[in-house]
Amino acid sequence: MKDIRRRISAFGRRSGGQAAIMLSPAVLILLVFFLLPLGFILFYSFLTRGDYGAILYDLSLKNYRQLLDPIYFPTFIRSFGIMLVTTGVSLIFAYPLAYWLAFYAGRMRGLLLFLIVVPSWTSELVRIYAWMFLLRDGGLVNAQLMNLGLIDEAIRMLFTPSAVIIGMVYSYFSFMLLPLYASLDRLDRSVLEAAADLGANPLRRLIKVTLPLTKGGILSGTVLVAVPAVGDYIVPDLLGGARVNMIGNLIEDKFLGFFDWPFGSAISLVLAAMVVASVLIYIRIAGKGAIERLI
Amino acid sequence: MNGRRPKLIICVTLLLTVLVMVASCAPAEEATPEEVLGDEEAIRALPAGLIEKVREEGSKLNVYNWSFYIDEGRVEKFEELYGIDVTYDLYESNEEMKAKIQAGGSGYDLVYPTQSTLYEMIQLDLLQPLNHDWIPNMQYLLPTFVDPSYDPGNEYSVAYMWGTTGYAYNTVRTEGDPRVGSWALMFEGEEYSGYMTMLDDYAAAINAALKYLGYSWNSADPDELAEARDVLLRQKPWIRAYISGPVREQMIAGEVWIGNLWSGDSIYVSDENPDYSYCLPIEGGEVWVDSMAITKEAPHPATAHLWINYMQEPEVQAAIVEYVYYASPNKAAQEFIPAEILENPAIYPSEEAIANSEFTLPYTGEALEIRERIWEELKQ
Repeated sequence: MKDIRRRISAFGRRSGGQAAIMLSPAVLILLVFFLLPLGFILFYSFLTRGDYGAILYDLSLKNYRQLLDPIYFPTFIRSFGIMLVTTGVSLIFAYPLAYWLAFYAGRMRGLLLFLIVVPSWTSELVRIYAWMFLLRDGGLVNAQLMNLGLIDEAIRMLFTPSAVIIGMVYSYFSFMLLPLYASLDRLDRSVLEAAADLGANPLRRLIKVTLPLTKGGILSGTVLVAVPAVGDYIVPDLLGGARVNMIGNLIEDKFLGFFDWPFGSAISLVLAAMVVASVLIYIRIAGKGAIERLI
Repeated sequence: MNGRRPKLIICVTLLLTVLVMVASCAPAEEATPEEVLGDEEAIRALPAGLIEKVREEGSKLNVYNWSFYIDEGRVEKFEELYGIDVTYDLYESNEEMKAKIQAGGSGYDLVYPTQSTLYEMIQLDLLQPLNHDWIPNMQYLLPTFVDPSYDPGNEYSVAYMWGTTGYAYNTVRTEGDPRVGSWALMFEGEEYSGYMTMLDDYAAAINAALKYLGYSWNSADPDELAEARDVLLRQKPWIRAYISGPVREQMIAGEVWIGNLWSGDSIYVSDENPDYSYCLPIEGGEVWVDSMAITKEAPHPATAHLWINYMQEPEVQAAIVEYVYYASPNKAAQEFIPAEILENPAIYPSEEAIANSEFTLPYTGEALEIRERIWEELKQ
């Protein structure tokens, strides 16, 4: 009896030690590459800018107070607006595609999914540069529209808000598509058959059965697109012509243009806090297991 | 048996580490006696006492310069002439270079900072004063680069190459416009609305407006800056984009007609699309200059002086200009530079425009805060 108890406790100890060893790389990575930099940013956000990019160790809350200046409101509102439109457009385009892939693509689906994901293996900067060439007045898009006789004069697309939306939707499309596809693929087909047997027409089946059952995928995709979209700065810079700032551009300006690391850090933290708050709301709505579904 | 394997791996790893460390130190120990001799005549022409110091330092030099910023044949020539072993490393940005020197222990003797970075490095005590007796070729410097605002008395630096910030424009689209050659083309040119761009650089954009108004490029006067803000806000609806380097492609395609731009980028545009030309406006714009400076902790300061002096030889400057397509601060070099380069306004702008131009210095206090505010208003 004693022997067994000892063996059990020994097992318990060993598995505890093993768990620590197994987890240590992950913990280390989180610590070094996530928590430590975040700690630096938090610390910097209370400091003051000195001359020639120096940082003065005068602790204060003035960087946060400065953010209450109404001059920054349009930037924040614009960022969230562009994020909402990007997420909405991505959802509208990705849902039918994911549906088709899950229900009708058959043996092709593996290849098609692969093709959708492949471009994201290239750097975002390079792909956005490519869009500059596509969207410009003499670019491929305008040339084709003119060839088809749809327009007589080039449409000005580059350096407009529409170009920013196009670039963002393009950048984050697969983050929307993949969770949608996963949830549609898991959808129990017999439920749809039952609905049909009970006399529901296709539209009713979509609204009453398919959409509610794939709510998890929709929410996951929304979070995965919205979070990076709100902080993006490459797309508004290159495709929007830097005429108006998003939060990411404001942060970039403060760090690299004006060498104001303390204020830049404060803006970054406020943005991060807003994102975390949104994700918490998401978890509230999506319920248990929401985090797992995100991954 | 099982226990031995890890030990073997550790031994091999240690051995490899030691080898790598030894290998990375090794090149410094080379340099055969023949190489150290150099050209007798060239050495005899040097200021007294310099070559002895150079030999004491071991006839070695570590140079840290921008990439694509020298005719590399000149490095070899210098090595042959004075029997020096040069290690030549490259950087891509002022920040990168400054960070490395600031961290210490880099071993670099010579750096090539742009004037605002040079100014900061002097404030941060990262450079050492020059011995002007060892650099007789400083006599050839153009007046603009003698006793400059960023380094009074040339205490720490000798100019290497310079360029300007003005605008590139499509000569066909602006044909007959009397405002070409003045900032008025950009700040009054409403009819070019949608075909103009400004640099996405707060100092370049705001200071251009100051020059248009006839004020100093580096003005810190709140009223003058307020006027500049109004000019920029009026101009904003006509501006297609605030964009720096990538505007080159838009110009080559003929989709941007007038763009606030650096002279070097503008040469690239004109090469690809001959309709484009560059102008440093007559009211003046920015002159920027990269200078040679010796680091505080330079292991071979005398040899670094020898290098600076050699790089200021008129023929050497002319050869570098032909290679890098930037202007030389060396007056005597001009007779060796081909006419087509001297007449290119993107390399050598008019003397009047240069006389009205200024160097950008790092901004502090009100000069910075007001500029920051204007930029925020412009982009909010």
